[in-house]
Amino acid sequence: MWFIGKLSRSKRGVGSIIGTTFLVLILLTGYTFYFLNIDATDDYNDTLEDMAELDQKRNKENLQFISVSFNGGELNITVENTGSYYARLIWLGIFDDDANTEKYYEIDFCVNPAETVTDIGNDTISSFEDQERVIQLVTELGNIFSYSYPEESSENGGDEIYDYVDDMSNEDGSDDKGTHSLFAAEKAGPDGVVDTLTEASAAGENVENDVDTNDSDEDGSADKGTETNFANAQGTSLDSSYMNIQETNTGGSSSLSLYVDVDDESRTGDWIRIGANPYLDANDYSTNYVYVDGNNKVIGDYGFTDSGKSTETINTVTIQLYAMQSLGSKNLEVFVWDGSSWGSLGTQTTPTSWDWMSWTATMELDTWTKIDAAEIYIKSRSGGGLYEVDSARLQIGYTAPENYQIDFEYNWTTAAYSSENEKVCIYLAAHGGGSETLNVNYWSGSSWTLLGTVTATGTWTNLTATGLTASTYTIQLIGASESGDTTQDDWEIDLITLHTWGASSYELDLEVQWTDVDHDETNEWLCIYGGTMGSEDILVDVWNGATWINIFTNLSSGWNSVNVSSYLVSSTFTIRFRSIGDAVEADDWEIDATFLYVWS
Amino acid sequence: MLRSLFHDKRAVSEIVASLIIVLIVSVAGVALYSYSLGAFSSSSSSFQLQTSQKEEQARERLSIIAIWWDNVNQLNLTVLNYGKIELAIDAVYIYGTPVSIDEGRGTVIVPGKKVHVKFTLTGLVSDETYGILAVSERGSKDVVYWKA
Repeated sequence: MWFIGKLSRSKRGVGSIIGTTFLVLILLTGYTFYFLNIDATDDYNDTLEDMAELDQKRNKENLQFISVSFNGGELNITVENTGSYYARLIWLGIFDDDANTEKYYEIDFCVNPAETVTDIGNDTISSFEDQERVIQLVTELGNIFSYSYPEESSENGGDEIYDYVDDMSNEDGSDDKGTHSLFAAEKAGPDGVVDTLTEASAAGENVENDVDTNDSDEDGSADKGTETNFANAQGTSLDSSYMNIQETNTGGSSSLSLYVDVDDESRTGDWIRIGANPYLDANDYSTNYVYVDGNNKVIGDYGFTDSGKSTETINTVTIQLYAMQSLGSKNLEVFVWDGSSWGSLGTQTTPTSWDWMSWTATMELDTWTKIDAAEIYIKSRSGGGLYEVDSARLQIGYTAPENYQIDFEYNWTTAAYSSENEKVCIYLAAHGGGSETLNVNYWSGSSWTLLGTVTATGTWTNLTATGLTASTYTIQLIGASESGDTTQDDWEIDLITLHTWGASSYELDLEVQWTDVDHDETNEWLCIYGGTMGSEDILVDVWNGATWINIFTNLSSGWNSVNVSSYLVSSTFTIRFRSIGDAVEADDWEIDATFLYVWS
Repeated sequence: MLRSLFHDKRAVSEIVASLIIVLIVSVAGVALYSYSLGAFSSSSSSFQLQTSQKEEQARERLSIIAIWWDNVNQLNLTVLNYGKIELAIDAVYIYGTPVSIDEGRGTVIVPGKKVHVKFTLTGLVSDETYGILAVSERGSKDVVYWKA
């Protein structure tokens, strides 16, 4: 019994042991695969190092043809290794431009640095002594070296001219960007001595453009407030001379004309309607008007445009008709609807020529609700003769409560609108009268949209210039409290300016120049030998006297050659090394040699 | 003693319970181990395949060592493999426009050897410079500017 009890207890331990075993197995498996991946990565990195070493060796290869001749009909090429790494020649190419043939022969020659090797050739090559051929030697590392046979001579007595770059220059008038580590290195080689071109940090374009005008009227509404010394808000810097803008009281006595905006044509009588509904909305006889001949003829009902008012005190309300009756001593009667009932305003004698007739309705329309609900109809009250009515309106005299408002527009006509950063900058020197916030809006083309607010004094308020998409840009300074404002605020502004600038980036723009080039040869090539090149593309442009023309979209390690005969038309020849630029890092590129290779 | 053993029902139930637990742990362990083995294996295989492909591309080097025009309508590129792995040319572009290769596409080039890649080029303009880009099946490339 004791033995069995121990056994059963120990089985609980067996489960844990099994679980732990599987856990260890899983960990060991993961560990194994991890090391397999590490091993694969190491192999890959080793390969990259090997290939980078191969590229470096390739860049160090350089051969120079010493002579090409035939001995007993057998081709004999002599070359010198002018590079710093041994060259193994594996292919010999013979090109016949006249017969348009191309043949390659396998060879195997090794040339150590500074060593001269002769008898390079292949006994299977047919003799082409004194015939024109292009001979090409190909190395194991992929470099090719060409030679024109027989040796050519140029008109100036030389064979071929390798004219290395002379100086740095500034043909386009713009400042260089970036640096040369050793410009002289480009004037020889390729010899492993390189000029490293390094990008420099270039700040983006920075423009501070003060406001141009204060007379724009994008929204079609009149300015509000008073403005003095607008010119003081212009300029290039703070000068303690201020433009003052002050709110004006838009309250007080005023009047309002509300013209007919609808004829419901519910009363027709014998009146004749001419033109288009609402007929009586403007003094535009004989386009739109109504007329009748006879007594007790009614027409209506006519409604009026809404007043948009609610708090103003109504002083007088007059209903007016623009009418005439040429015979004289003829009357018209007007009835008014106040929203709940009709009432007569009495009769008036119609003028014998076009003029306004007036009926007082101050008692009937004593609230803005009644005014906005008001309708009229017209009745002829004398027999015989032609009544003509051209328009009708409500004429309201009212008193608005005190309200200080400000609303000014400011405008740029020469704004830079494609920069990465664009700010409207306002320097508010002082704020008097009250504490009202000044809102800054921009005109979107159809309405005002808030850019931000100006509250702080003695400092710049910088607001992102949203909507700056064209050279014309308009902002509005308007009070934040535009109704019931009983305090008259004023603001003193030193400067309103539009600040635009781009982000900094690393860029390269380095000019180099030849000043005494043989420019009338048949063949004219620009040759640039690159070393280790940065990850960003390096472009090469040629100056044609007026502008830059791209001739390399990117330089590679090793030889980069391009025909420049169409650009090499004078003794001065200029190119520039250029990068597009980025904000990531300063790239650099090694240039071992830069020269013009010309021959006839 | 045996008699008491067979009559001790509590001991039997403990043994059965323990065996069931051992069985559950074993089955769960086997399932988890199988899953993890599959997951590790799949992830590792994918990584190693990608690394292997990148490594193969890194070992590639090619150079267009000659361009020959047959004076009719065919251009012939001589492409040298100077890398450490065999390669095959898959495409040729002239200023970004692919051309239809007549001969040499897919031909395996061992290191140190070359291949002729021929394609038809119509509308060749004399004295015009053409940017010719050769691309291998693994994506390595070489570009030359050739004046017709």
